[in-house]
This record gives sequence, C-alpha cells and structure tokens, in this order.
Amino acid sequence: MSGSALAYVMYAIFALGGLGVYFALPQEGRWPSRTAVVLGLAALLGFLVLLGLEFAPDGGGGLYWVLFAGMAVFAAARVVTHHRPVYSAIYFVVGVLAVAGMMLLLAAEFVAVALVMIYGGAIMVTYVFVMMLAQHGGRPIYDHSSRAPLGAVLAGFVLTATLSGAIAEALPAGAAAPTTTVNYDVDFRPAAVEESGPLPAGNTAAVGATLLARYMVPLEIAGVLLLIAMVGAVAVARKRIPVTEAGALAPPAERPLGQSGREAEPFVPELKKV
Amino acid sequence: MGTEHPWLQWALDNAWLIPVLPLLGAALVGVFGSRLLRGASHWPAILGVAGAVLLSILLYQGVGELAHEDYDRTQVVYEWFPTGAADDLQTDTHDESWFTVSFRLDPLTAIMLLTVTVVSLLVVIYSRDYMRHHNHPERGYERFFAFMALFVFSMTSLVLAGNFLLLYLGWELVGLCSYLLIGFYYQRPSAAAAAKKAFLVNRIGDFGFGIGVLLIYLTFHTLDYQVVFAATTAAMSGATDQLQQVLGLADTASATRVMLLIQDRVAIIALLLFCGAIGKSAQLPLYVWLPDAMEGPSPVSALIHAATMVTAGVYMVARCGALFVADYRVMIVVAVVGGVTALFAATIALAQYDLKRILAYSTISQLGYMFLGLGAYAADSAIFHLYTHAFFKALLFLAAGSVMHAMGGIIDVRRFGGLRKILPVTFITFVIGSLALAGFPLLSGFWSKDEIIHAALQQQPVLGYMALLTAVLTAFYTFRMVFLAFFGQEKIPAGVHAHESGGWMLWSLILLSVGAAFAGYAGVTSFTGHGFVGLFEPHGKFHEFLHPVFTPFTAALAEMQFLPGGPGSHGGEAAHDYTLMYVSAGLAILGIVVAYLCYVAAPTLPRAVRDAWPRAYRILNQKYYVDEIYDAAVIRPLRGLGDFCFGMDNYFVDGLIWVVTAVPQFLGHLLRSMQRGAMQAYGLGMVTGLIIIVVLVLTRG
Amino acid sequence: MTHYLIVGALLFGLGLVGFLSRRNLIIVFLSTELMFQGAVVNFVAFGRLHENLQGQSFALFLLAIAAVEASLALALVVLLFRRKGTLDVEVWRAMQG
Repeated sequence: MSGSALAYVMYAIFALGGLGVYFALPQEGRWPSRTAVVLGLAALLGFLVLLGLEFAPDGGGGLYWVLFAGMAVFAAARVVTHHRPVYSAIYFVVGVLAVAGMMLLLAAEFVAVALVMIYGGAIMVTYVFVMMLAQHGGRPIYDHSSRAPLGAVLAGFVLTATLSGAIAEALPAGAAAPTTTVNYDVDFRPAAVEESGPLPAGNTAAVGATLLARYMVPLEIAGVLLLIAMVGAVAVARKRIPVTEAGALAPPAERPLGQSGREAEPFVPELKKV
Repeated sequence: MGTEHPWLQWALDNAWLIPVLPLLGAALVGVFGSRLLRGASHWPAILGVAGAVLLSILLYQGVGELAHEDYDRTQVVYEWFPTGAADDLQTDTHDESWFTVSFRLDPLTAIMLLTVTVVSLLVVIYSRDYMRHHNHPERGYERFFAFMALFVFSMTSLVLAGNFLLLYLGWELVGLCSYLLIGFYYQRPSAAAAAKKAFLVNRIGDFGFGIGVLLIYLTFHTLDYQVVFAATTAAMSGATDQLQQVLGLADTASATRVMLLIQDRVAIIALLLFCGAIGKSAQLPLYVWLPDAMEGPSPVSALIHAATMVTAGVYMVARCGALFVADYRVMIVVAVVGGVTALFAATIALAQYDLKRILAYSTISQLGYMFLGLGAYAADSAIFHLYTHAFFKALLFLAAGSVMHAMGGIIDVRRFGGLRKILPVTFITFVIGSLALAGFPLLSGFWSKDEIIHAALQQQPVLGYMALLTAVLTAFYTFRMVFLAFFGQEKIPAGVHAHESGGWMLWSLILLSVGAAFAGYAGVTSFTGHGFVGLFEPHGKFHEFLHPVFTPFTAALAEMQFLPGGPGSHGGEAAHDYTLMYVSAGLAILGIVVAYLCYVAAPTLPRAVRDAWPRAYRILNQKYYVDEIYDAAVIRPLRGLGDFCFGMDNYFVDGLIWVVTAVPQFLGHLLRSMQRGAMQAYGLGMVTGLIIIVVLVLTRG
Repeated sequence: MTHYLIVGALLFGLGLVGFLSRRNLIIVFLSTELMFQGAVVNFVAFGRLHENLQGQSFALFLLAIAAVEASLALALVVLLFRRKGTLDVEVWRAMQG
C-alpha cells in the first residue's frame, strides 16, 4: 500500500474508532449501545489487521503483537468509557498486562515486570482504596455523563491520527525489526567496573548496570522525588481531627466524614447535566 | 474746535460721559442693588440718565454754536485694537490701521441724544412708581433699573458712534437689553418666548447688517463714517482725485479701481444695512417680534419699543444717507417697505383689543412712515417725525401702563370702560397723546406726518396716497382705543381697585404730554415767517439745524430735478403746499369723528360691520396669520432640521460610539465564556491548540 | 517499529479522551495513567529502534514519575472530596467568569 493511501485508510479507521468511542462514552445513563460495540470492535479489528499486515508481516511480534495490541487498545477504550470506576480500574490492569506483553516482545523484560509490579501492585491498589473511600454507591450522575464528549473525542482522535500519520510516513514499514532474542549491550560501563568481568546475561543486569553507571544522577533524583511525593501526599491529605478540651480525640460522632477540621456542610449536588 | 463758553467746550470734549454715566448707574445698581439699595435702586439709574440729559443739552448747544464752523466732527475717544495689514488689490499703501472708539458730534447726533436721554429720563422716573405696588417694590426691582440704565448706555453709544464698529456694538447691545427687558418677567413662559422671538428675529436682520458692515470694510478699508461717506460721494460722482485724497490711496489708477468697486457694491451694502433696519425697526417682514414684545413692563415698551431702540434703524439709514442715495432703486425699496408696512400695520391695529398691542402696531406703522420719509429723500422730515413720535408714543405707552396699573394688570380693552372719571390725569394725557398720534392739527404729530406725506406724494404718488389712507386709519384706531377705554359705561373688572397712579408716574405723564403737544413747534417755527400761517414754515429750526447732515439727500434731490418728468424738490423752495395741510387735517378729524360714531354714538355699528365681513375681521384680528405662516414656513422646517440633526447625533454618532464600545464588550463576553472554572475545558482548549501546532509543524515540516 | 508507535499514540489518545471527558475525578487521573502507558510503549519502542538501553532506562524513570503523580493526585482527590463531598469535577467552578 502506498504511503498516502495507507494514511487515508488509517484515518478512516481512526474516524470509525472515534465514533465508536463517542458512542461508548457514558452519556445520561444510557448503556453503551450496540452501535458503539459494533463500531468499536470493527475499528479495532481493522486497526489490528491493517497494522499487523502492514508493519509486522514477519518478526516484530506477529500474532503475539496482534494479541497484545488488541488487548491493550480494547482495555484502554473500556477504561475510558466504562460507567463504573472499579471496572475502569480492572480494565486498566488488563491494559497494563497487555503493555507488559508488548514490552516482552520488545525484549524489555525488566520494564515489563516492573510495569506489572508497580502499576498493578501499587498504583492500582491505591486507586481502589481511594475509590472505596470516596466513591458513592449506586449510580452517581458524574459517572453516567461526560462533559464535552464530542470535543474530547475529536481532540484525542485527531491528535492520534495526526501523530500516527506522521509516524507512518516517517518510518516506513518493516524498518528495523530485530528478533526477540536480542540482548542489548550495556550502554556504558566505567573502566573500573569493566575490569570486574562480563555481566551476567539478561536484560535486568544490563538495565541495572546502565542505570547505575550512566544514569546515576537521575536515579538518585528519582529516589528523592519519591520521598518528596510520599511526604507531600501525607501532608496534603492529612485530616485534622478536632480535639476536646481535655486533649483527647473527639468521639467519632463528632467527626463526620468529609470534614477537614472546619465547619462545612455536606454538599448536596444539584448540578446541571453537562 | 472752540466755543466761547467753557461749559459747552467741556461737554464737547467729554462727550464720552454721556454713555458712561448711565453705565455707571447700571453698574452701581447691578452690584449693590439687591443688597444695599433695594428700594432705592432707582436712584443710580435716574441720576445717571439725568447726568446724560444735562450733558446732551450742553452738547446740543455746543454743536449748535459751532454749526457754521468747519471742524472735524469725529472725535476719537479711544484707540481700541489694530488690524493686520489690510493689503489687497485695492489699496497699495495702507498701513496698519487701528479700530477706534470714536464719536460723531454733529447735529443729528445731538438731536438724537436729546430725544433719547430726555425720554429715557421721563420713563425711568415713571418706572419708579410703576414697578411698585402699594409702595412696595416688585420682585426684580433692581434688575429692572440696572437693565434700563444699561439700555440707555447702549442707545447713546449707538447714537454717538462715529464709525460702523461702534454702531454695530450699540446695535447689538440694544438688542441684548431689549431681550433682557422683554423677558423681565422671565417666569412667565409667554414673556420668555417673546424675548427669544425678539432676539432671534433681530438676529436675522443683524445678520444682514453685519455682512453689510463687513462689506463696507472690504470695500473702503475703513469703518469711519466720514471717510466712507465722503468716499461714496466722490465715487458716485466720478471724482477720482477726491477719492484718492479721502482714502489715502497711492495713485489715480488705484483710485479708479476703488471707484468702480464702490459703484458696484454700494447698492448691495445699502440693502444689507437696510436688512438690519428692517429687523431692528420692525418693518415688513421682520416686524413680528414687536407685538409680542409687549410682554415686557410698560416702561420698557415705552422706551425701547416706541421711542428709542426701534428708531435706531431710522437713525442708521438717515446717517448713512450717502450710501443709500447712491442708487435710486435702494431708495425706492426703502420707501416701499416703509409705506406698505405703515398701511399693513394700521389695518391690523383696527381689530385688536389689547391696548398695548394696538400701540405696538401703531408704532410699526409710524416707523413705516419714517422709512417712507427717508425713501422719499426727506430725511429731515423722517427724523422730525422720529423726534415727535418718541414723545407721543412714549406718552401713550406710559398712559396705557397707568391704565394697566390701575386695572390690576388687565389690558384687554373689552374688559373695562368709561375710565375717564376714575383716572382723570391719565385720561387727559392719553387723549393728548392720541391727538398727536392721529395727526390732529396743531399738535406735534400733525406737523411731522404732514411733511412726510408731502414728500411721498412728490416722489412716489402711490405711496403718498397709501400714506394718506394710513393717516385716516391711524386716527380711527387711535380713537377707537380712546373711546373704548375711557368713554361709555363705567366698567371695571371684578376685584380690581381702580385708582389714579402715583405722583412720579403722573409727573412723567404730564411732562411727556407737554412734549407731545409742543415739541412739534421746533420743526415749524422759524423766524422768517409772516403772521400766523407764516409761522408754520416747513423748514423750521429743527430742519435748519439738521441741514448740514443731510446734504446727500438734498444733493440727490437737486440732481433728480433734472430728470425728465422728475418730481420737484422737496424743501427750500417757495410755497408750502397748504392744500395738503388742510387735507391731512381733515382726514385726521374725519377719522376721529368716525371713531366717535362707532364707539360712542352708535356702539352697535362695529358689531354690525364685523358680522357683515366676518372673514375680513378674522384676518385682521389674527394679524393676517403672519405668525402662523412663519411657523409653518420657517420654524417647522428648521425644527425638523434640528430634530434630524439630533437624531443623527443620537443614532448615528452615538451608534458609532456604541459600536466602538460594544466590540471590546463583546470580546470580553466571548473570552469570559471561555472561563468556566472547569479544568477539563481548559485541558480541551490546550489540546486543541496542541493539535493545531502539531499539524502545522508536521505539514510544514 | 511503526506499529508499536502507533499503538502508543493510540493509548495516549484514548487516555486524553478520558481525561477531557469524564466527570469522576478518579477516572480522570486514571486516564492520565493511561497516557503514561502510551509514553512507556513509545520509549521502549524507540529504544529498540536505536538498539540501546536509553529507552528502557527512561521508561523506568517514567514509571517512578507515574507512581509519584498517582499518589499525589489521589491525595488531592481525597482532599477535594472532603471539601465538597463529591467526586464530581463539575462542582469546582469557583473561577467561573
């Protein structure tokens, strides 16, 4: 397929997908209609077929790539369009797994595992905890309606289409697809470490060595950043619990949920639909 | 210039005091009137005007003594402001010339000053009682006397003026004082409207007058009377060397050029100046302000709208005789306007019921007579009539004011009657004034009117007959007024305590009636008469006195004698036409008798006449609907124009401004709607911008 | 490589859609995590293209940043929830002009 024809086909697929996502976004409590499902799945299929055939005919993942990419895209779409937050979180984990699979295909094992551990193990747990704390049961209006769905879909998909079109033109198909068993060399090892002998085989070792040797400063800074974030999170979300005159904590009855130490009445939302 | 008597010389040298003394009076009253003087506010005014009277008498004597000497009658009082070098095509060597305040001290000025100041003094004395009720001064008492004194200042400046600049200044100032005094009772809407009307109609005339003055300056490069008149005379007779000398020109060529220019322009200049006279002296078609001007107090009507201000036009034409006689067509215009106005106004007066309005139309009519006289080259007769008219018309107005004062402000002649027993002095003085106005033989009006009719018959016979008809009508309506008001059944409006007026008013009435009766003799007595009849020469002392001033008129008349079929000259000749004298006397008596018949002997007769010709009556009563015509033809379109301009300003100009202001407001509104406080909207906006940038970058490379 | 990049772009785009259109604060931030995913895919793909470990190293840093961002975002969400008692984004309109 020629470059411009490919681009147009891709744009068409993206348009279709955008339409599907638009219909899938929760609006006024209506369930995602069958139209949306059909459109979306069709788009997804088309997408996968196109890309699979065009860019990954041999090597570069092949079938596995199709599987993982499809899973990732579908999961991402569901994260964005599902009307219940917990399901969004679950779909997110699925997406993470799919992306991890793609990392494996790219011979980035450490990154894959780190993704699963950090995202699925830490971040998602935090999200689910917060959902537990703050999420209303039942069918709150803010889960069942979107604001500016058309604008958002347009913005997102136009951007994606533009970038994709640029990418497709810039990097023609079949460029540089090494086998999955490539083992990257270490980027840099100082002379002193070099003498201590070759590294154990494996991506993890290589990445570790690279990080410690070449990217030492960013590593340390990242550590400090994590510390700051932890302190900050604690400081921001601290709850001030009123104390009685005697110095003891006030009884739970006087600590209504949602208070942050000052008088504020529970907000009863009377909101217009967006 | 030297007289024998030091007093007279002093008066001549200090003629500037004549306007300044009343001005000082006005200033004193204006500054101190409301606080200090109050009830005594009349004193500064009376004293100022009295001082002016004394000086005018001295001036008159002085001018009389020097009458036969050759001296420069123009006296420069004050050098006012310089003009730029006025070089243009006409004169080659004209330097910077200064505009001056200069006086012209010649016989005409002296006569006018006497008339103006004496009548003013009597009116101001009268006002002292008129502006009071039960010895309590009216509201605005001080204002009144301040304005009156200011008016005397303005009028004397006008009369004394030796150049057109000062004339114009006085002209405008009297217009201003007229406005102030007509609108004296400014809280009355009709009075305010009348003042406005007077000022605006005058303005129309003054517009022409101003252009005339400008044209004079452009043509002659000076505004001095002497120079302008001498130059005109020289130019019209083709004497280029004289012209050159008078204007101070460089050579004969430029003199010829200037002469041709003057010959072209002089008619236009005269007509433009006459425009001002039409406005100021209430002739057709700019007379409409004078009847309405009766809204002012009676002294105002007496002084300004009978004796002095309205005569300024006549004075001006008489003064500028050289300009007017230059073209005979201009003189015809003047005469026709005067004659037609006289008849026209007299007819309107026949059907009016407001005492002061009748007198107002009578004034217009008499002013028409004066212009008729001027147009008939009888300027001295016109000025003579002005002088006698000042006395009897002022008398009539003051007497009417006395009636009004007694009747509690009512002036409609239908609402009272038979007042001669109740107001005896007023009655007698009123009758004397009426006799003079009607031209009853032996009283002043008779002599002056007679001369004008004679001159008119000589020049324009048609106008002469019109003047005779007007004389009959004048007698008729004057005595209609007298009989309606003073004869018949005694009828006083309800709730009015009718009493004769106070001492000050009466004395001024009496003095004025003396003047009305006997002032005319100054114009007819001369020392060269034989017997009784010979005493009444048409060329009396008055005319002798004025003779040097009116040489242009007499010269023009002398020239016209040589025209084929031209009329005989008016004065200075042999037999006075006694026939005319008897005829006009008879007509006056006829008018009086008819009025007597109509209003005393057979009171139902007028009603019968009115019912016989109802439409004619209505036309006359409604003043020929002239005001309505003006309203429809002039005022409505102007107002429409004003409304249109207002609408333009409101909608178009303000609309433009609104558009200019609306644009930022709209932009602001637009921008404001982008600020929703919702983060995601901002995000959307950012992404949109990002997309645009990305697209641009990628497509342009 | 292109296909990986396009997938990464797609993940990013979908995350953007969710970020701009959902009303639940938590889902909004979840969508930002999704965007991070897309970025990670891209980085690693490019690393594969250039055949060095730079991409993967940066992907690890991205992971750390994502974690940091998630924790702080959720702390803020909790704070906001306490203020208004709801997770709705629409209630925060105080700056509306």
